[in-house]
Amino acid sequence: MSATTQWFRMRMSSLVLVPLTAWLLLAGICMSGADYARAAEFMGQWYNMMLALLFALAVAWHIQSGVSEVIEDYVPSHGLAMFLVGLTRGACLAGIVIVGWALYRISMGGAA
Amino acid sequence: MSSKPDSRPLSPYMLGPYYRFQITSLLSISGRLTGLFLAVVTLPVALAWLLALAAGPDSFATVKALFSGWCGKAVLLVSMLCLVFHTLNGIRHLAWDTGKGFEMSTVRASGWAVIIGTFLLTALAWWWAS
Repeated sequence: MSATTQWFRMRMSSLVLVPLTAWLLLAGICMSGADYARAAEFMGQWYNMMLALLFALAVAWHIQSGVSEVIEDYVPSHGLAMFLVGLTRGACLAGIVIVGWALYRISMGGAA
Repeated sequence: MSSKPDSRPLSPYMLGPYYRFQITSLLSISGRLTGLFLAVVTLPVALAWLLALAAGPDSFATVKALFSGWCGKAVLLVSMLCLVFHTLNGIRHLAWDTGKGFEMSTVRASGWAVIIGTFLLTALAWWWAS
């Protein structure tokens, strides 16, 4: 990937995350103190599921790009830096899978 | 200088004894630190909430109890501060990416706006949530 593409995709993830973060903050406020029934109903709404999935995808890209930048700037050993970047990307992918699985379970009505 | 990848230069540290303290360098490093905190602490916490919800009422009750304790509340408050700061500072960066706001007076003013906005919005959100 060219540096320009990398730069551009990072800005695109930032742009997409601005409204999604507003949603996350509002969702957090609504869900403060919520019991299981209310939380399950909230997250079970199709639009909240879509927004959560979109947030997970955008934030995973944002993190692998941003954290890699920090690692490459401050970790002196190239080998260690590459290892940490790989670890970050793996964790981001795992995060997407976990969010997808959790949302699927919630859409199926939680623990069946 | 050798061209080995291991000898590439690292970023200089702009805080500490080498440079005069400035709001620009403070907000720059804060953007990175809050980003790291959000990635390493806040998102796993949010993920724990979602996973507990997926796992069922018992797990959810456990996580809810953890969130309402003083330690949970402290993590949530710091998370909210970091999220609001990182977002506002990110918007400032996006404006710079379009080539706007580079005059030093504007850079300082937008920096202060980010700091004040962070505390105001977080206070408002915290008050609304409780």
